[in-house]
Amino acid sequence: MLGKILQVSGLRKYFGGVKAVDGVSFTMDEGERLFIVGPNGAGKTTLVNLISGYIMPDSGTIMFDGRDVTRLSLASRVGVGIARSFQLVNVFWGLTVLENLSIAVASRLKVNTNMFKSLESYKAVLEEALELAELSGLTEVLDKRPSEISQGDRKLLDIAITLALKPKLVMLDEPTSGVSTREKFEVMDRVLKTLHRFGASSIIVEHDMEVVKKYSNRVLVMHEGKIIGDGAPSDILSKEDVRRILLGEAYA
Amino acid sequence: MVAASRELGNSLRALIALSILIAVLYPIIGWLRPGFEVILTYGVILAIAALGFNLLFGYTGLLSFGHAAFFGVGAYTIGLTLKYLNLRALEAQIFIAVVAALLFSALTGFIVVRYRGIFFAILILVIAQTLWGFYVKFYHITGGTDGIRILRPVILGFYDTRGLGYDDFNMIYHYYALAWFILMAYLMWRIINSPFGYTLKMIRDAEDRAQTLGIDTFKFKLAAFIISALYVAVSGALYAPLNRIVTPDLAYWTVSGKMVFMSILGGFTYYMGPIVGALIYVYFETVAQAITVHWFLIMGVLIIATMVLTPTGLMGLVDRPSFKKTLSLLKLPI
Repeated sequence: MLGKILQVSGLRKYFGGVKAVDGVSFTMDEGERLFIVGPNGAGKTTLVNLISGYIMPDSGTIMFDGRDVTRLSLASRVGVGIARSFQLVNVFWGLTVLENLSIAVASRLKVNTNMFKSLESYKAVLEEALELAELSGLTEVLDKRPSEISQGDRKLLDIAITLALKPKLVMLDEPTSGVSTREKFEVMDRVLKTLHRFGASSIIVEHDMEVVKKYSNRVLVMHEGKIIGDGAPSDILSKEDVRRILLGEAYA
Repeated sequence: MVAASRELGNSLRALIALSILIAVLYPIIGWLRPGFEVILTYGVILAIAALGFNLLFGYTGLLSFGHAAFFGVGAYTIGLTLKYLNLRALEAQIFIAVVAALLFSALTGFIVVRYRGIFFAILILVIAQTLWGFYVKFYHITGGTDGIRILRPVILGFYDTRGLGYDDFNMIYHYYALAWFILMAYLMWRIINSPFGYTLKMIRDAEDRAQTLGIDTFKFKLAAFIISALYVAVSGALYAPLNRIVTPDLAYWTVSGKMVFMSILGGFTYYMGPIVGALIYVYFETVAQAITVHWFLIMGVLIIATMVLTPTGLMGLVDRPSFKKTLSLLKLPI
């Protein structure tokens, strides 16, 4: 029996009068994959921001791997094993793919402060960067800058940078947004394969119902800052009220 | 990693080739156009400043309009240690200049690197101009606008350059400055290819993303700020004996502007950019000043032309495929 990796209880964050996250509680098992769905403004990204330490909650607690991380800073949360990627691709545009991955690995290994040894000469860094590139299917574009590769590859690079931290919990904010329909399953296959390889638990915010149906075994539905459904996609997504919220009145 | 180091503008071979060229050109120019060879000396000295400036601008993404402050710290350390301590051993003076710049940049950097963009640029400009005001107003210490006359230094701990003739001193000082340039440029090459250097590039490209990788970006920006200040201070210190006088205009904001100019002219995204920029800048400035008193106009046209025609500077021009093809046909050793 695996332990609980994440226990969120009574989490609340208001922005003025807007109840972005309004009393959210859920738990996650180690190694579990959790999809969060919901209409725009449901509070999905705010929830990710709260768990990753971008913003502090008004109330509630976040227990991660047996310790209270509610008030921990962003950098400290990276240290305990929580990492995330963004909805918009956020990579280092001036560096090549290999440089992006190498410096991310070097950051985890805490060798950033060395000023006189070249980054290339760290064998362990290079090997791990190449392994990440292999898993993410980026071997062909190692020497290219992010501006020269496809949007799908950029997404994969972004996620690979996150995974270079070897986190226990990975949060991906819409991994397939902006990716062509043709590419999105390819991207998801790669991402999930890599996550599995690293044995990381994951929270994935996703808008695309095709992706959710294909890859999830547990879905959390959010609406107006609250969780209104939690369970297997086949049960949850067929419910009348959930369908109405996700798809709008006309399609319900 | 691999691709970038193969580019001409980022290779150590380019530095070696250029250093040899500067060493060889000095007597040749001295023979062809007597008096013009000193441009090369000013060029390599200012290249040290431009390299330091560009660590912050091109590699960390912080544009400073106040690095003249550190140039002034370097130059005035030479003047003040000579005036008050009667110190003429140049390496000892440079060491004191480095310590002074370290303290001053740590203090100012602690405040200014918290800001980005225009706020950073203006804040450091204000600090630099305040220091300039100090040099002007505290004339009983600094000599005011009359400045401090600089006697010929003792170099390498034993070689007194005082007895030398004008041309002999200039020549010896050229190779002395060139040696400093090669040392500083080589160290910079190591820095920008190190994990530290790549961390600065991460901050330049996406500071928030660097933070998600657990990096304390403030510390790295402060370190980059201090290193860049040290380079500029060494440059200012080497500049003083050649200039034979230090005056407040060495710390005036236009000197900061020159560093911006040099980096853009040479190409701030390249390691070689500020070096080439400094050499070409000094040459153009001298020529333009010889032609007309309105030389600012010529320099203005030059910088606008650079930004419009080749935003990545002269090194960007050199790295174009067509140029590379020509080079490979010529089989040049670079």
